[in-house]
Parts: sequence; C-alpha cells; structure tokens
Amino acid sequence: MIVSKSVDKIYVVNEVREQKELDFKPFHTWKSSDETIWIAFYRASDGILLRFPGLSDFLVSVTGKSVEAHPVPGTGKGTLEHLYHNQVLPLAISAQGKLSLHAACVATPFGAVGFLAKSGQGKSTLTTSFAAHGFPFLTDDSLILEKRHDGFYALPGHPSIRLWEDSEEKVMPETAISTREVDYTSKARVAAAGVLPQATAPARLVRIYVLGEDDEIRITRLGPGSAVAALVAQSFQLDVEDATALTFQFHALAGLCEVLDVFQLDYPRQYGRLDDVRNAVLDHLASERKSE
Amino acid sequence: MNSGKFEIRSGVTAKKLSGETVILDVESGNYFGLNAVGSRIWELIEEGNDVAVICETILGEYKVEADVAQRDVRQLVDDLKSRGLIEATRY
Repeated sequence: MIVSKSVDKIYVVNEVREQKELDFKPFHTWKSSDETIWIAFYRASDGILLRFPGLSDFLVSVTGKSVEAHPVPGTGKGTLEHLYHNQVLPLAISAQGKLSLHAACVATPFGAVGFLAKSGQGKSTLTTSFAAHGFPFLTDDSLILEKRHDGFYALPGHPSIRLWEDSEEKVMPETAISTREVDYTSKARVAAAGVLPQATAPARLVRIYVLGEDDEIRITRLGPGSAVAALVAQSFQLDVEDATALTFQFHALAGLCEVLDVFQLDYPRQYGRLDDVRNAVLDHLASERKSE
Repeated sequence: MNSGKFEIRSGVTAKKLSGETVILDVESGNYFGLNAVGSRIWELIEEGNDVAVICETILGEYKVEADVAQRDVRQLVDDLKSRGLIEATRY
C-alpha cells in the first residue's frame, strides 16, 4: 500500500486488480468526444466508485475525505497520479463542500486569475505563456477554491503542466524536461520545478475568464446568468443526483460571482498571438481595477 | 392564461445577482435567468402574492400601461409554470 505524499493526504493505492463487471449500472457517466465512456460513476455501499475503463477504479468516500485506488494491471504510476490529481481529487473535493473548477490559474500583480474552459480549449498553453513570462501558475487544469473571510482563494495544484507536443515546443522554455507517463494520451507532462514559476501558497482569486472560440481578441463581461451557467458547466460534482450538494454548489458559485467578475475571453489559437492575448488580459485587469 | 396563486416548486432554487435572478431546477439540472422585471415578479411569487396583486405591484413600480403589465406578468407566469419552476398553490 502506498500513501500519496501529495498535500491532500487522502489518497491510498491498494492492490492492482482487473475491473470485474459490476451487476449494477452507473448512475452517471462522462464520455469522451468519441462517445466512449471516460468515467462511470457507481453508487457503492461505502462511497462512490469511479471507474476509468481499462485504467483504474477509485473509491471515493461519501465525505470525499478518502480515496482508494485499484489500478488495472499495467496502468503506470504516472497515469494513476494524473487521473487522481486531475479528475478524482477535484471530484472528491466537491464532496467536501469546496468548489473545484475545470480551470487553469495564474498569479498576477492584481491577484489570481482563472481561465475556465473544457479540455482542449488552450488553458495549459495560455497558462504556460503567462508562467514563462514570470507570472507563477497555480494549476493548469483543476482549480480548487477555498472560501475565506475576504474572498475565494485558489490553491496550488500539481507542479506540472500538460501540453501537446506542438504547444510544448512553442511555449515551454527550452530547459523544460517533459515526460510522457500518461498511458492514454500523447500529451506530455512537463515538470515545472526550476523551469516555470509555480505559486506555492494560496492566492486570492480576482477574476475568471471563460475561454471563448472567436478568432478576434475580445473580452466581454458575462451577465450573472451566463456567468453562473458557465461556472456550473465546468464544475466538478461527485454526486450529480445529490440535490443538497447541487443546491449548495449553485449557491456557492453564485456567491463566487458576487465577489468577482466573470468575462469571456476570445482569442485566436495562434502561438504568434499569445503575447497579445497575455497583454490584453493584463491591460484589462489593470483598467478594470482602476474603474472599480 | 393563469390566475390565482403560485409557489416555487420544490427542488427549484434561485439567487439574485446584480439585479438579475438565476434559477436552478435541481432535478433537471437546467438553469434560467430573469431580468430585473422578471426578478421582481419572481420575488412577488415567492412572497405568496396572487397574479392580480403581482400585476398591480408591477404597474405601480414601473412606467408601463396596465394591459402591458398584465400581459407580461401572465406570460412570465405561464412560462415559469410550463418549465416546471412554479406550480399552483395547493391550499
């Protein structure tokens, strides 16, 4: 048995085992773009079983305070760590009553800024671009928030960034060392230590940008309804049938929208325009701050 | 056309933000947004007012013709009812 040394200390890897077919159906599934099941959510007697077909099972306690992994034979340590940090932990955290969003986050002189988007929309590339220019990143994929008396704080995540090969070549410093330890994707995981600055302490979140897909660099304020809907769409929720948890999450996200502004950031996905995008965001942060 | 009293259906929760109201139907997972006038009507429904009182209140608070106020209130009430967000009061 290996207990993870990660900050959360709730993760235990148990014995390797095959995924036996269960005699009950999942109550929820997440599917990949090709409609194959990515995660199946099963209700177990002692929590919720998350099955990543062909990779691993994770049993998350009802309270979200403990996680047991049962990897399938042949699943690498890197894959297991990735599944845990990017998928399972945010779901477990949601069961603890905290907000976890599918978002990247960087620290700026104005405060922490989140970039909210589904997979493949450029969060990691944009985050790397900021970090490579001296703005420490907190996370590139799963943003866990902690509510404090003066606002919501972004917690530092895994000290690595996952990039496709072309993004890695274009935006990563040459000294970066990448590994391809995740079995189901060719995305590289690039260790940030000594290469990119990572914030090591929680930082107060001041702004969220929802990444849009238009080709012009444009920043548009989202109304409350659109903002809450965007946040909900990219929030992790362990039990989507738990009305109490959903209501709690809804009010927590609405509370988040009360204390910070949410904007849509459209920009062309061109490496040559990343400097312009970064500057547009920083100018926007500065100008909005002055007008407050 | 609806008249009488309505109440927020169980499993529906709402939050007012910057003058607008965001509504969640927990059962379906659907979200809805109401503008400032819609938010006021929602508030009046929550307070247990019947449709006639809601129309009078809107007429008193906004610069609008009586027939327009009545039409808009009834349209929104019909819409909220058809979406399962409110239901006729049972008592």
